[in-house]
Amino acid sequence: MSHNSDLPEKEELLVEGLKFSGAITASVTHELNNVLGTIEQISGLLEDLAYTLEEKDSELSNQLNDIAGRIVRQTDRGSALIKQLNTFAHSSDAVSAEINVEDVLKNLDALMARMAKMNKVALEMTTPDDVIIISGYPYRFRQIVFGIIRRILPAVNRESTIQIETIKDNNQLVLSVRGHHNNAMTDLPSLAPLERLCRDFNGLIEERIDSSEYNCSLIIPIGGSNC
Amino acid sequence: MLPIKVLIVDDERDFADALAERMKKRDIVVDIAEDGPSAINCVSSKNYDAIVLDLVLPGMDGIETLKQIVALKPDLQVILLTGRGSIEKGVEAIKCGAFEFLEKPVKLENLLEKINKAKSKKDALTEQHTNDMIDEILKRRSW
Repeated sequence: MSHNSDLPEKEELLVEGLKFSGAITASVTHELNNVLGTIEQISGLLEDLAYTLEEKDSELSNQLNDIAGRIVRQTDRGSALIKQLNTFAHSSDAVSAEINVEDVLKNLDALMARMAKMNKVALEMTTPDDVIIISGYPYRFRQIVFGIIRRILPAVNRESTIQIETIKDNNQLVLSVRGHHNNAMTDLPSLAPLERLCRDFNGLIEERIDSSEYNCSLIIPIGGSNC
Repeated sequence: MLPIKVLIVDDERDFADALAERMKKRDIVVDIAEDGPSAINCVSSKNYDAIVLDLVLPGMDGIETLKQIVALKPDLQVILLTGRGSIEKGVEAIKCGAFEFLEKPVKLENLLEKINKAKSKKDALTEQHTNDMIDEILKRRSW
């Protein structure tokens, strides 16, 4: 493992821990993808069998085709998720890297879909046409964005949408998270841990809560990082 | 017409077996190798129309295996498969002489399309090299 001499010892140990988790997860996601690939080929054998039975027993042939189709739909679903989990696992590889903000949002959108669904909320990610690149630790950037979204998930209105929008404003990334609520924003967890994480990016978090809307903006200079 | 001959190189035996079974049903002649050195042996001793090679193999990895196959039979086209697909790996594989790069799980129809294209390219290259050789011989004999 590489030695990050710029980091304090405690931070370095933490990063090594994250790299360890990332390496294991990345390796296992690769194996899981192989499993899905094999299942997909075996379901293909079912389709082939259905094809050979088409003349003799069309009802059985249709049933087999239907089963094979259902298996493939699930392997495709699993494969897409595993790909996102693999991307997430690799986000802990390098402490200092270029981060494509749109890629991160797509990654989090896929990984948080289940959490959003459990809270009966939809996530809507909007990114500009321009590619926005910031510098820093990709894992940590994900952690901050995830942290902002997660803290309001239980508080926004059911069946509503949390809008996550990024814009490039005067050489700054402004990522805003907005949602509507019914006065449920009184006992939100503290923002302090996320604000501390933001320092790695020389960034800050501005939060505004009014009677019906929550709005949190993450502001990070493009290209600036302490990592 | 002669059947297409394909070598599948993958250490996932269940995957390779299922893929091979489906290809055989489509009149393709298939061999399986589980690692790089076995694949090199197969390529040395037999003629294939295309190679389907997993990028991640135990011991000698897919890229190294690809390089050795290309050195051994330059006309032979190699289609790389991987579950750890990335643009960087794909670019590296193409630079090393791979014909195509497909991500697992792969759809058989897509793979068969690539195999057919790989065979066409191999046949065209072989024909071109044969013609070049004939021209060379004729030149040497001043015909």
